[in-house]
Amino acid sequence: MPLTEEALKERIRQGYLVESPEEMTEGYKKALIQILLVQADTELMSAPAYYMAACKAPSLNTRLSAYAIIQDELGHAHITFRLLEDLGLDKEYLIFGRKPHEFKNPYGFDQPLETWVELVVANAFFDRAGIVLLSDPFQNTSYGPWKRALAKVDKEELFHLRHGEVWMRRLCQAGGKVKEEVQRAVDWMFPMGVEWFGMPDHLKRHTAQLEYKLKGKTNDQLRQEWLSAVVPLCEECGIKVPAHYDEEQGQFVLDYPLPCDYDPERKEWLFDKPITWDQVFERWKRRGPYNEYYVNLLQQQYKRFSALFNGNGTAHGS
Amino acid sequence: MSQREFQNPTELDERTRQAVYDLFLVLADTKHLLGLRYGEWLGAPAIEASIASVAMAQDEFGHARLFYGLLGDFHQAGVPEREEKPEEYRNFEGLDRAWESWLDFIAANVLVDGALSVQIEALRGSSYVPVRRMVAKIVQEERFHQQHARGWLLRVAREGAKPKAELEKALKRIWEPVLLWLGRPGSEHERALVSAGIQDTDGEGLRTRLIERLGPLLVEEAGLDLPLSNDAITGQWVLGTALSWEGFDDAFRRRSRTGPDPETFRQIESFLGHAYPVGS
Amino acid sequence: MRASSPSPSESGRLSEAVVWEALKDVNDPEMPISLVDMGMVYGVSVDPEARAVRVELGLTATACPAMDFIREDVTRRLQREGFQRVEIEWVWDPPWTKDRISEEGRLLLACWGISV
Repeated sequence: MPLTEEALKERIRQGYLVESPEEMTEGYKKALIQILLVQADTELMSAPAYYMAACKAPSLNTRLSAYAIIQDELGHAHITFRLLEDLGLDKEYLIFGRKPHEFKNPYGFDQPLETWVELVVANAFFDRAGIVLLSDPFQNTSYGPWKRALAKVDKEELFHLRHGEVWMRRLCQAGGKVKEEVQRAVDWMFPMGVEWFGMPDHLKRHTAQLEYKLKGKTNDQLRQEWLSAVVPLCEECGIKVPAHYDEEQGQFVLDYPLPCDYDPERKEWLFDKPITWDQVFERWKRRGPYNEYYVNLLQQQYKRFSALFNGNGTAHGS
Repeated sequence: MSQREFQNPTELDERTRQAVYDLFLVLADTKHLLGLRYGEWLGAPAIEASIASVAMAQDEFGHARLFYGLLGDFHQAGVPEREEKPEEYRNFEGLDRAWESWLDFIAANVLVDGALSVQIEALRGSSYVPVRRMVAKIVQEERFHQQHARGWLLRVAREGAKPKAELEKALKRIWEPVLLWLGRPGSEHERALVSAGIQDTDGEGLRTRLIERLGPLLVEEAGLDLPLSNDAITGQWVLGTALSWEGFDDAFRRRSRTGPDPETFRQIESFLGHAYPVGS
Repeated sequence: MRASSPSPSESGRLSEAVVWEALKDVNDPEMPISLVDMGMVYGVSVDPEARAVRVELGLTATACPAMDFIREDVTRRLQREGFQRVEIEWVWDPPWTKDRISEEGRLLLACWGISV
């Protein structure tokens, strides 16, 4: 007898871990693929963005650390694409066959990271977002293979975070123009991180991902977790962010309207231009300025290499 | 052959000191640039290969960092620091610009990485103690590079006539410069390095070791058409290439002192003239 | 945690054993086990008079991206023991290999799902 939605949800409520596609309903599988694909694409597309900044590293040592982070991100992407492969998807097509706009990474990784400072802030903000988003399923997810894979991912992301935070402190202590540069990076990257967590709960509460316990926390809970790490870090560094802790509400509140418009050419948030979430989704769909460049960087040689083999087998395999 | 050990460049005579400095700088720059080139392959034809490329890039940077680290003592002993200009860089000439295809990657992975290993292994018993202490670790890490190179080489060579021919072309593009890179017979540099026991053989000896390794892989296993053959009587591998030493600079181990192209050098220049507190 | 010490003077308790014990608190930034269990501590020498310590560390890879972090963590931990000068020397010979990981380290890594 096929598994009913209700029976599966009941099992999950009792703490049962789903281990294979045979134990899933179509609805569960669809929701799982969706969330894994976002993770895989996020890890994958962080690599070319970080690489762009790594080329501006100020020393051999710092370039080395940047490469170590890039390798980790590629490794995490690989692990996650393997999970998708186990669900019957074609890993090779997902990485090399899709069009740039089909990748599901957040808007932040469609942006150019142009300096060492932007890499540092990305490690402190975006990798923090990654940790917040991934420690939730690591603790709560009902999909066993994902939970186990996240143990390694979590550990390595902590290293990236430390890299980002140590460097942010170091750069801010240097003061002067260097600190101003950090401020400029934070000015566009902080709201980018805030938006990363998506629609607030009062607009969207119940999702399949929560019902199937693929993750355990809501968008607002996750955003608060992120803010509670990032805002104090910036305050400690003497860097201004448009958010503060509100004693009465017992949580962090933003000092600007979420969502609002963004000018990617100038890397500037337009706090005086509030927009709707539908407009945000449209902006995400239009993709950021480096989406095509990054995807081409990853796919170009695969295409050339496959062409060389003249269709007699693909470039991939092992 | 000297049985002495040297802890510091001040213990070396001037001619040897310069030769050792030149060798370390060549190794440091070559590994630095090889790391840059490997690191460019985020978009290798398979994600496993991208991961391996970035991993190998880090190894090269790690080794470059160790060799650059040896130079400080030489500067203290009076060897002038080099100017940060492209033409002062002593990287292997095949690393001056970005590789065009993954086949160039494989070719360098086999030949450049292979030649580097042979050169560094010759320092295993070096009389210069600070370098001798690093060799085992470097050699340990390079083993993976050789496995990676071998795996891709054989896969492409067995894929069909066209990929095989393209691979041969990529190998031939750097064939002669790699062989030259190991050193010119009878040069003052070589004599200094060998007589002070810095390395255990001269350039000719290194070349023999390299082709003894390459022959079985390139010719026997991969069936590639390269100027390399096995002598039926002695069983040794013999080079069919007459090496042309014209313009070869013994201190730079390259035929022209152009250094990395502007696009590459911009990445190195990012190390200079910034205001960031990079520390030690 | 800092062990209370019966010795009269602070410098009197600055021994090599104290250093080894303290280094058990310092984890490899990329692994969930201590530098000691990783087999990365090659040697320790203490000069109690000068409140100085020298630690020889073997990194798992020449390209270790966490060199700075390790230096920082070790220095900070040993300063807490009362050392004023902490010198770290990176050692490559003999190269670090997985064989150097302690039995306890292996067990811990196994718990993390990392096989060695």
